[in-house]
Amino acid sequence: VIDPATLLRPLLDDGVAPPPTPVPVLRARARRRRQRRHVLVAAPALLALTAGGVGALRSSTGDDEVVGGADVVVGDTSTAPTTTATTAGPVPTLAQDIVLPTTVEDDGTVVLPVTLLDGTVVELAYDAALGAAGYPLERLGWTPSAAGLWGDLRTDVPGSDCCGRAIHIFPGTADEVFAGRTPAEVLDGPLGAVRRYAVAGTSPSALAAEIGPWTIVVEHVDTGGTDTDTTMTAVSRAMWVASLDAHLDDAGFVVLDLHDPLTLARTDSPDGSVGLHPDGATRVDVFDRGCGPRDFTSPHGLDVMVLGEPGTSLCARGLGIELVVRGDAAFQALVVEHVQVRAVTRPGG
Amino acid sequence: VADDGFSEWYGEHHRRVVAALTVVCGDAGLGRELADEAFVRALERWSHVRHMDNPVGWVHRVGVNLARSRARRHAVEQRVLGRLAHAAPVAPPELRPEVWAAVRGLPPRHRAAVALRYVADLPERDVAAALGVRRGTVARILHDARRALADQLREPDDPPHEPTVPGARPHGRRPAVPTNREA
Repeated sequence: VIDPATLLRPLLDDGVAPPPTPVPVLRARARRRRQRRHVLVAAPALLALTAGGVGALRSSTGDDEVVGGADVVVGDTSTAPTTTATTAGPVPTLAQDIVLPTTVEDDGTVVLPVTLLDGTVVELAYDAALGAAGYPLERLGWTPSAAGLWGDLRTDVPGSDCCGRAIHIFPGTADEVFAGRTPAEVLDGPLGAVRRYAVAGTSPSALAAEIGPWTIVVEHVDTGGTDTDTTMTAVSRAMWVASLDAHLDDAGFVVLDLHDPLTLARTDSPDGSVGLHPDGATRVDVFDRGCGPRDFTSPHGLDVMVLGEPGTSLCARGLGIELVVRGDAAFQALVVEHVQVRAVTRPGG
Repeated sequence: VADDGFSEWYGEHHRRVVAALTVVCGDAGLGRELADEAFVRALERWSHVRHMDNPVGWVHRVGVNLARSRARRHAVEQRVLGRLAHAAPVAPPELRPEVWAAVRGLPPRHRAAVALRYVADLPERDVAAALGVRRGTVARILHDARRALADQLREPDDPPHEPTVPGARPHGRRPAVPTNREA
């Protein structure tokens, strides 16, 4: 006779388990959540843009542009983000087919501007020595993420990511992103064709709309799921298709322009991440959410708080931008020493 | 800092919540992360949560919902991109590998039910509420899960589990028939 309680009882032994996260750390996390300007919604996990089919991207002018086989160098003057198939570099497991923002080098300082999905432009800057030490942030790629909010869905499920749906941005066409899969349905929205890619049964699928060299993907769970907040009904789907809009900013990044009743919301996940290591381990997550407490101040004036797991937080208090550095201790130390948030430009600001 | 009993309550229940969510999501690292997030949410609402009939049940329910959301996203991402960067699940060192393999082999809903009933020690009524199913469904899921675990952990020489229909013959094996009968 199997008694699962007996089988699993060792999980409750205190001898092996690490100690609980200290209450002050939980308190700091709770405080940060409260500080956010928006309701927190579905948090897309960090994605590594490694789809093999994304080797060629169209530029924002519509011309075919293929960049492959060589690293994009600092100071690239193209106006649109480009992809590259990176060669083996000082970062041993650099992801392939990643999106590299245009960068400029200013007297030994690399300036790396990235655009969040609400149009906020964050200029990171760092000493080129960071690259020399083996961590060239400009070559690690950029992935934005966000979520859409729809206010009249279920709100009574504790802990559920109610009322929001994760929005992912991928380089490449929908066909490339979905690896040649045939859409189950093609609908018409402000961005043109919105394709629904279905997976057999009630498995999750997605809505996909293209803009320039990017594809915007919205999580979709076929009807038949058990959770109202994640089941995209026909009504919900029609609303998403009609309300999903976007444009490209001057640097070629996607800026979402969601129409009523959708609003753009921040997520529990970063607003974007620099550095998508294949194992997700070496990266700098960018949060536009203000600052929490600090342990000390970095050489570039950022508030530093050592979080342990997941990493080290650096925050530009005046600008409201927090960076969470994940990776080995050497990487975290180098970022603390060398990285600064040079400027933040808000939409309309 | 006065915390109206949160610290004590958290210390008392943290281990069990982590253990249950480890089983729910099949990953010790993620289980701990989800537990932390669930406790953060409890802390945010502590003035309300502490007056609930079963605050621990609420935390488990939050954790299960978080795990489901995470699993859904993971599935979407895998389907969208095919090759994703997700670290291998972390096995809890406390369990024997074969036990962990058997538990991880259960369907997600079965795993969640087992976790909530046998690790979190919630009554079936609360398990049903957390999973959004009827109590009878929980009983059936738990029964199926126990059978599946028994099958997975059965030693090669053990007899298969008894059939549930009276009079039916056990599946899988014929009665041993002596081949060298004595004359």
